[in-house]
Amino acid sequence: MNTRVTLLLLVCSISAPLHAETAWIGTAMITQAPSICGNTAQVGDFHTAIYRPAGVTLGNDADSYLALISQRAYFSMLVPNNTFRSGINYGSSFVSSLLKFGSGTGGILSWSMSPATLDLNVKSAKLVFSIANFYAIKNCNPSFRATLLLPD
Amino acid sequence: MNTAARLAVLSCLSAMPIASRAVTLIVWQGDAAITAASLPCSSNANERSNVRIGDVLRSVVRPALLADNGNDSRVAFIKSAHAEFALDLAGGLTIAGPGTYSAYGVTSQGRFRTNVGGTYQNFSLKPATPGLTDAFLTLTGTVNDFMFIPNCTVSFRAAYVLRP
Repeated sequence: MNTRVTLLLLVCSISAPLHAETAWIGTAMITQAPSICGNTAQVGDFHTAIYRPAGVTLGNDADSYLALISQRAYFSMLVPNNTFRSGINYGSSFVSSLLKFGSGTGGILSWSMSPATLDLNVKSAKLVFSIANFYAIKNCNPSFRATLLLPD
Repeated sequence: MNTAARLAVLSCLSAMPIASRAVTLIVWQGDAAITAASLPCSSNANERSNVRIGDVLRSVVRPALLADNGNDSRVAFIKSAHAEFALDLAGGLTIAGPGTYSAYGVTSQGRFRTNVGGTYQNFSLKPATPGLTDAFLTLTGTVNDFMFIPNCTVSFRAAYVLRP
């Protein structure tokens, strides 16, 4: 093989990722919230939902994130080495609207996404889920209904 | 009071939970307009991460040493309910600088960041030591690595109202 072909092959084998980091973004509305949540979660509250699932083909690493962001606060959950699903545990990090910096753990109590798996062909998705310990408040377990869009 | 009664009172008292005082945090909430932004601020592949002159972000400020606010001042910037950048300011809200901050937040891709170090300068809060009778605050300043974007330096002008 001559030098030119070898060089060409070398350059071609240094491939860029198929896609830069991918996340679906949309809205999550609270459909149920126990009274222990207080003002932190009430039925009818809206949050921006950003779901960044694990996956090399998505340009993401092996960890999945789901963030719920409001006008003045956020609550972000990390499921390491897995995707979000019923029964899995997450670790959270959040900043409250009073600028408390916090962290916690909890479980995904229920998870129903349609389609069930997201890939780059999924331009929009629906999601119904509930979690434990929203904003690390023990037994504040709200339920959400969410829509997600692939913006790129 | 006889012994039985004394014991009854004592055991009743020890069964009662220790009352906890509610924590009172005082914040002002408003907006920060971006008045200057270096090129890396708007050079991200993901458009939702970009910050440009003229952007207006929601902002919350929590001055130190007021009620239970603690020893450090904090300020947060929230971009369109898509991303947040919240700072624990070691040098306070009025400093020529540079001061150091510790940042907590979430990126526009949903990933959270904790305890990320950076610097800020030329912060000026008015009034400099606000209290509960100050319904309005203003803040100007310059922040480096804004919104966790490396080498993104922004200057901003912010105005706030006291949250009841």
